[in-house]
Amino acid sequence: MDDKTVIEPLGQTVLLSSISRSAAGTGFSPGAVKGWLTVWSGAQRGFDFHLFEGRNFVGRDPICRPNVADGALADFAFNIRISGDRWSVIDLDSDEGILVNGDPVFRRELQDEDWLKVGEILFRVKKL
Amino acid sequence: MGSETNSKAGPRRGGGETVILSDKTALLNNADLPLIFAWLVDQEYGRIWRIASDTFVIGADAANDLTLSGPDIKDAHCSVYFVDNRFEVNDHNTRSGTRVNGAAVKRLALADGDILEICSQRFRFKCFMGEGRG
Repeated sequence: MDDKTVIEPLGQTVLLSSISRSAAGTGFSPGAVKGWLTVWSGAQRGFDFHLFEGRNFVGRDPICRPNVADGALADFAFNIRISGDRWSVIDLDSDEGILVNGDPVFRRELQDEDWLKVGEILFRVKKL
Repeated sequence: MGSETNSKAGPRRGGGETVILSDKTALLNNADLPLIFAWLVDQEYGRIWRIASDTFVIGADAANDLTLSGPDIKDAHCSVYFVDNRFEVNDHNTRSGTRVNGAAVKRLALADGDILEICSQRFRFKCFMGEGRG
């Protein structure tokens, strides 16, 4: 499955129609659960969100899945892309950028139990 | 395959309260509580139960965190405890027993990926094993 996220010359991240076609906005359960995005700080501390094969657009916008209702998070903050055993995180339009285990990244392959920090919100991924 | 997180609503010993939402489980009023993230995944149907408190009771009683049915399952068959920063399973002196990775146990620390077997029902236990697991 090809990633439809593209970067325009001005550096603006643009989401093509993949959001409305796939996981987000079309209802729950695009497939079997592959793991979890857990929230360790912020307004949603203690929540765990299911992650599925394919794209998982994380953000405050209601069409995001997971939809993280935290005012400190961008509408479309990042994408966790799962392709089999390979997980990666891709920054979308988060103002603060993403840190993975403390390192700023735009795109990074994720390992089990990696920490993600967006602003003051701390996440951790767990593979099933 | 199921895709819902299943968790019983109601007050937990840790003082938080779990609530069921469509694809996520929340702890309410938990700002000062340690976070507990662990899951049991039904190996037959893929249903998922979140363990979010320090005591998670499994058995036939409908008030349990995870309710199972079967002639050999006791009302409170076994429990998963979060104690001393690790998870343990404790069989409640049942005749049919509780097995972890095929071996009958009375009390045993659980590790990520262990298979918990209660009578004929099998669950994969998932938790964080690294720093800050709970």
